Amino acid sequence: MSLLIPDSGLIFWMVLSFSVVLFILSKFGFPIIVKMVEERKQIISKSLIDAQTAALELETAARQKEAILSAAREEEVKILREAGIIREKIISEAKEEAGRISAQELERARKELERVRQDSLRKARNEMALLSLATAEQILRKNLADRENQLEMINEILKDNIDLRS
Amino acid sequence: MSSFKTTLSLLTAALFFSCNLYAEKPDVKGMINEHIRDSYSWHITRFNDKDISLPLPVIVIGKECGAALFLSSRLEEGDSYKNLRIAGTGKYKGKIVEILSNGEESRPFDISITKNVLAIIINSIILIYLVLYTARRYRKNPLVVPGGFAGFMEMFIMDITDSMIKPCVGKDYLRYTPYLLTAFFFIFINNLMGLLPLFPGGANTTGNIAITMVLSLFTFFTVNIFGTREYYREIFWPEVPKWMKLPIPLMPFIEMIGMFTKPFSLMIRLFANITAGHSVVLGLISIIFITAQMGPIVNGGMTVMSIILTVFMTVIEILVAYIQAYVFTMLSAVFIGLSRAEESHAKQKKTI
Repeated sequence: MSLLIPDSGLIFWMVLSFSVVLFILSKFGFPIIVKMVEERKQIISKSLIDAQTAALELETAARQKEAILSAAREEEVKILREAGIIREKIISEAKEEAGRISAQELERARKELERVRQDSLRKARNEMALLSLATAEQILRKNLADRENQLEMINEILKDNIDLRS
Repeated sequence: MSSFKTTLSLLTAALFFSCNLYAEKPDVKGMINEHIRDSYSWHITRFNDKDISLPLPVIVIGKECGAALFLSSRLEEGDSYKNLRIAGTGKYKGKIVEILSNGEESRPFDISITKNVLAIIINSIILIYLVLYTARRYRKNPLVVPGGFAGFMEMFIMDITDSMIKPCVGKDYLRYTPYLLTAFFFIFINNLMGLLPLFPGGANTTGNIAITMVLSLFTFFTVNIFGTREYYREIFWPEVPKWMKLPIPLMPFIEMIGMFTKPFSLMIRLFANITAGHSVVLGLISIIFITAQMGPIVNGGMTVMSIILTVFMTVIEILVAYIQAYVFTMLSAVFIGLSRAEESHAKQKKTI
């Protein structure tokens, strides 16, 4: 029966030692461990989230880089194409211009040539006319030295003219 | 391995006993009682017909002799000192009594350091050391996961916190974790130390009603001091038909009894489980000495049987040591959780 009767001395010491244990452990023991573990848990979960966001950011950055690069490449292609077009245009324009100018020049030259030719032709004609006149003068002077020849000549001419009219 | 050692030490203990008890009929009941009960000196073993025991300080304040402080070795084998002696029979059997001048026995105020007191002090020091050792690891480098023993303690502590205290207590569980964890590890260490058969262990601390009573009183005060208004309303004005509480406060009376039966059940459960475990192990060991007179064959066979059963029981007792610490803490946590009842909770119940 005495097993079931608590002993007062033991109760006293038990209260004392358990209180001391409880005080020490609840001051320096368990709360520190629990707090530290909770903190560590939070840090771990926070780090995990951070890592996830960082990875996401990295991914978006990579995607942005890719986008920028492809845009730049497109721009490059466009610029090159435009440059090509412009070049072609300039060349063709230049060609056209050159053709036009050369045609103009050619025309002018031809006109000049024509003029010169006409000029020289006229000159030559004048020259020829003068020459022939002179020649004819000379011949006439020679041929019409005597009377007979003059008459013959007149006859001939008259004959010719009559032949022609008839 | 530990159970092997336990067996070995039990065997040696058995050999020492068999030297003494071979001729006479063993007093199994007395032996078990002696082991389960508290005593003024710590009996370690018996060697060459001489008891080897650790004398412990006796502190008493008697009616006539006044305060006295002396070692228990003075009271060995019925010796008396300053009219104080250990009562052999009667109401105060096994306790120190004072022989008054009129020849009557009276029980002095006794706060001796008994076997259980010393065991509690030793176990408390072990517990404080283990926990502070773990806590120091966190102070040194807070973010490093500790390995080795501290890692094991962290796993143990966090398992109890997360899987038992948090769901049982509820919202502000962090306030109660120090008490509940202290109770758990205190009981667990005392249970395990009680299973060790040699000196620093072997005291039946958690199988002593005074110790379980103090533990359950701590739970009782924790529950009732920090109880919410809703908790007390549920005791004194529960949600039952009016006739059950108005002329005769029937339900409040039952609820109030419930306030005391909860810690009482905690006290009895731990005490009974541990005491029973110790008794069964000691009883099984005693088979060897009981059968000693039946001849070497029976005795030999029964010894083997006894050892096998004792190993089995000791392993079960290790399990029980954990389970009883767990049950005590879990029920304490549940009682605390009930005392943290909130109004909205009760109203929800009502609508259901």
